[in-house]
Amino acid sequence: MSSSYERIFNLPLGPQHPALKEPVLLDLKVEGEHVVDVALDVSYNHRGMEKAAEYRTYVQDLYLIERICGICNIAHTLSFCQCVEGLHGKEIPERAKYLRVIAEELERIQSHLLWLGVAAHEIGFDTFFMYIWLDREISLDLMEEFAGNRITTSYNAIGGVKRDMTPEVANKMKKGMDKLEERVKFYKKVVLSERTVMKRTMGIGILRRDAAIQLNAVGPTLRASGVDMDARADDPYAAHSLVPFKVVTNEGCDAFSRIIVRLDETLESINMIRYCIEKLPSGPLLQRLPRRVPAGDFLTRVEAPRGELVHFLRADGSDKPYRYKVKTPTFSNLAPLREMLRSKGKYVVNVADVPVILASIDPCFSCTSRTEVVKS
Amino acid sequence: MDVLSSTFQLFIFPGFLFFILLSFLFEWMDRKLYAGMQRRIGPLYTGPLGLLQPIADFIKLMKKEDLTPKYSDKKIFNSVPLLMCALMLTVMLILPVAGESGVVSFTGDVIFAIAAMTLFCILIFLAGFSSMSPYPLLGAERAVLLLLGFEIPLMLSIAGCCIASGSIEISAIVSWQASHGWNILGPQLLGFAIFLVAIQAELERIPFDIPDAEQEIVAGWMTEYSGRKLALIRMARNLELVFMSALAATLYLGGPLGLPPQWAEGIAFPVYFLLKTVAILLILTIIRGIFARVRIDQMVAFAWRYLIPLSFLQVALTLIWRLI
Amino acid sequence: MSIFLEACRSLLKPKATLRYPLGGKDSLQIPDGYRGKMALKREACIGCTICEKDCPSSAIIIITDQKGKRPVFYLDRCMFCGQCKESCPTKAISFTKDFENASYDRKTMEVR
Repeated sequence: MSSSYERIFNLPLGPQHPALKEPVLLDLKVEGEHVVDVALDVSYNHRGMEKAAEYRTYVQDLYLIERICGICNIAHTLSFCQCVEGLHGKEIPERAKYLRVIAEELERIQSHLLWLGVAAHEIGFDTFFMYIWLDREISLDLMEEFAGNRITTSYNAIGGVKRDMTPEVANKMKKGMDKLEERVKFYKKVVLSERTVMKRTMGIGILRRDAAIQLNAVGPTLRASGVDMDARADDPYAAHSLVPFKVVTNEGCDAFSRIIVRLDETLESINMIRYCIEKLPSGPLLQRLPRRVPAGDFLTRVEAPRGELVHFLRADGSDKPYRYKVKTPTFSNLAPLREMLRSKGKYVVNVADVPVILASIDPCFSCTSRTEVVKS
Repeated sequence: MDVLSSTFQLFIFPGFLFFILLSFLFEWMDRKLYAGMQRRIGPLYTGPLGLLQPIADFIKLMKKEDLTPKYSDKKIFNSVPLLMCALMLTVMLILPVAGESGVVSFTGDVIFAIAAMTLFCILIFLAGFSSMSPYPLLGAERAVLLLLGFEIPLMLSIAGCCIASGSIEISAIVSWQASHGWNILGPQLLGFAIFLVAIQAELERIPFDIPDAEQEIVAGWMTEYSGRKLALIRMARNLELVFMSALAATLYLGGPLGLPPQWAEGIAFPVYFLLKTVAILLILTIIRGIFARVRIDQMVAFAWRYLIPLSFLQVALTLIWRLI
Repeated sequence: MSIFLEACRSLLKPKATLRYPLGGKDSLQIPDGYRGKMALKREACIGCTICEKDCPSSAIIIITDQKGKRPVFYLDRCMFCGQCKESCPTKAISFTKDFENASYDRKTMEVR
């Protein structure tokens, strides 16, 4: 509690808080109901993944890297496999590239639906949250049929993919995509017409275009400020150069436009999956690669559901990596988050808006904890 | 005999025990309907269809450890839950359950009801303020802001009913409705709508559950309460739900009035009363299910820009209608 | 308004929650290829010990029985990633659809 005449009042949001899905400390400095500044601390979930990767072989590391984040697991394994395949210098079969795109887009759909439900829950709209998560079950069941598990699917392997898509699974996926498209269009209609939703998200968490570029925002947070940068379009990997898609942007710069961007991206992903199922080439699934990786450095960029994900691998010729570095999209979005949480001039941030703003960048702090500050 | 029947009326029916059981039943109905709208099951295992779930929750909370924060104002902190329960149980005695007047009936009991609602909000503020912790403080501050916004439309819509029937005694309002038709038919329809909106703010339900917003301020003013005190607070809130729904049913829908046969009046009155109160509860639960939460400044703006002018309009309409 | 209609329709639709224990109306469709408890074809195993080296969570221990070396799987360490099935050169390891593996007894966690 503040002392007698201080106007600025410390309100710690976290590390344990019902609004947060993962531990993070947002130390809010509040004046009345307006937030003036915030101090972030994201080191609560540090698991030592990068060091642990140095003690395991590449085959075992695939599963360790997959567990950096549950809901972006295909993006993480994809980058890992691309790093290793890049150092070997081998191309993976065409069929595997298309299947990787299908898996990645299915994961994007599932992640965006999860996010939309969480955002609805943050503004107190529990009914909407329940409906969205019920429809998310369609995409999770499809993932189970296709890849073997709902989350942490273990689908990508070094050199290709592990499982094939049979015609029955392709049929189920087409039907599932039709159902999902109809539901996502309904949610878009609700979001655009429900007054309480619009009142709680419009004008909240404004990030101007120049601030977004300067502070290195990534993913839908960046695209909702009108900047069209997407790692699938700028730096195509897997089959993205062959699959047509539109980079979704919005000029709104606030939390509402981020909702619209993610819903539109979900619709784009549904179209991409349909295209890939149609044009799937035949061929082998896996290219067997030797266990020892030739020495060298390799860096890949992948568009995870939350933004641009960067993996860096330094190999020394043995069957264990020498150094592995991961930069997650939430890490890049932390500086914009701080900017969005500060009231200045006519832009005021209420305490009630803080969970909405935090949810609108789609945080995944478990991925982000890479350093821990130990005070001696 | 008189003492015995008074004691029975006071404690059993339609007194304290009846209202406490009714509050548990209403919480069950609220939870089941809310779950049904979301394609969930709701309470299931305790008792048939989960009917005993609120009672099980109450008993569980009574058994839990009761922590008091070190720097809180202990006298106020410990006494607020008891005061809340006592206040609600006392004010519910004016409700006409088994006849045209309640267990207690006197001129001005409508004013007593309004005063009790305001006092409940003040107790909420005291609960949050005495906890001496940032989250309850914010919750208490928001509760007072809510009070500022919604007390006036609430009072004015009740005033509309009183003007229409010419009395400030609930039994007189009910008798007037018996002869002139229910209050909702007529200019009181606008008052009924305003009353329904205002009591959701009073009860702190979505879309107005700002002092209790789970996502922002943990549990708002209830954060530091645990164990027995929390059980009593929850029971007080359920009693408030019953009271408000019953008040709406009494003032606007005619309370226990209906078309009973003469010989079954004793049984029919409570049944009609319950049916109407449950109908109001269903409306409140459906509203809870289809809206998001509004922010405190938006809510105060909404109250002062729309509700208060509308409630003045409604009083004016009632006066004109009365004069004609 | 659309949410209100949806809520009314949801009151009439069947509930989305399944009750447990499963069976009858509340049953799950487990897809083919689901990675549940593993099973070993003893006659196909040649004792190469690649599965033990490749397991990320060290859930496989190699023991010697009368026919030679063979793996023993520990369900409490396993994370059901499927790498052992991929690494096995003779396709001796496969996964069943059995997912209800929780138990009070440590001994039931070994798959021999």
